[in-house]
Amino acid sequence: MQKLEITITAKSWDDAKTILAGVGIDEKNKINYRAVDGLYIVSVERSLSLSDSDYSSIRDEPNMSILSDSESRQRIMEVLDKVYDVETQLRKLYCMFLIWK
Amino acid sequence: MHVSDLEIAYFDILNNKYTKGYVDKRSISISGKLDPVTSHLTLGQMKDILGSDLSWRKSQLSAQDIADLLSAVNSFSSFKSKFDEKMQEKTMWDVIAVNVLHTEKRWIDINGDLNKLKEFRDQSTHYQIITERSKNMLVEKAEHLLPIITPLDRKLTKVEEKNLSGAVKTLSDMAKQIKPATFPAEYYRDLLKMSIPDFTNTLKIVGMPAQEAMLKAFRQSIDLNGLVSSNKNLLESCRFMRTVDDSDDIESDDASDDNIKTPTAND
Repeated sequence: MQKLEITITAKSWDDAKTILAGVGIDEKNKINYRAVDGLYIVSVERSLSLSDSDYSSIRDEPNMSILSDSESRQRIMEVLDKVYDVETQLRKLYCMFLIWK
Repeated sequence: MHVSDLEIAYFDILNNKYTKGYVDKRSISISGKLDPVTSHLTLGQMKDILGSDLSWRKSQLSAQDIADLLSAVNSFSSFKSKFDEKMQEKTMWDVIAVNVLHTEKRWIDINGDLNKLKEFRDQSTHYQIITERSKNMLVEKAEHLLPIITPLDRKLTKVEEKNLSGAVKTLSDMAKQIKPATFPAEYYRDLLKMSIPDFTNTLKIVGMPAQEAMLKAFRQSIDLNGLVSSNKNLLESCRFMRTVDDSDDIESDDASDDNIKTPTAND
């Protein structure tokens, strides 16, 4: 289950729903929202993950952006694991250099 | 670039730019801290240091630098050559690659991957959106980088393997040379026992069966008596050897151990 928090700027919730539908998020998904002066903070739960093309569509939509993404968070942990390996190895190299000198 | 130059450059960078007040020379830890001093560097700072140019091209030289260079040379041509060497671009990575990693990978080979890694690390730590495609690209880059920057897991090159086996052989030779001094009788016995089969085969090949049989008997005498110090057998064997050498006529090609003519004093 992918959980998303999305921000949308729209004149009304209907407009916001239209924008959401444009990127493949419709009434089939569980949607909650809060409206603050034309800004909609929308929580979405999807059984299917967003594809790369869905992400591209959101990126191209000027009135929409992703605040948080549960699957992106998982990917971030994997990225940081790899960065950890590289960064630690670089530190080892520096220590070796200090000893070698 | 001398080692001392590198050391100065390294600590200049660390002390002045990044970890001023934390580092003492020749120390990799800070009192009261769990992490080595290098842990105070961020990925971006490490990248900057690795890529910093240690050559004289853009650095401000002091009179002492020139004086040191002059004292290290004995002619103007060697001065020019050393100066040119110091003017050539050399990053800290290049030095580490040669002396610590023993790799030929240049800074430009890994700089792009490190930049990308840093960019994604920054995005990740600020919880920006990372797509599956971006993640796969970064994992691929990290996995490409890791073997390059890891010195311990690399395989020995053929040249290194050859050098290593050469060193083992040298040690083995040294052990052999030490042995006769310690146990001379056993050493010469072993040496004879090892050499005789070779001589026997050679004699067989060139068609000298009598000499071959003589050597077999000689070897038997060593085996039976344990040491060459069995004077009787040794004397008899030597006399037999002389007899065979003096003889122009080889009696039989099928000489076996049983058919060996035992020499007498009259022979």
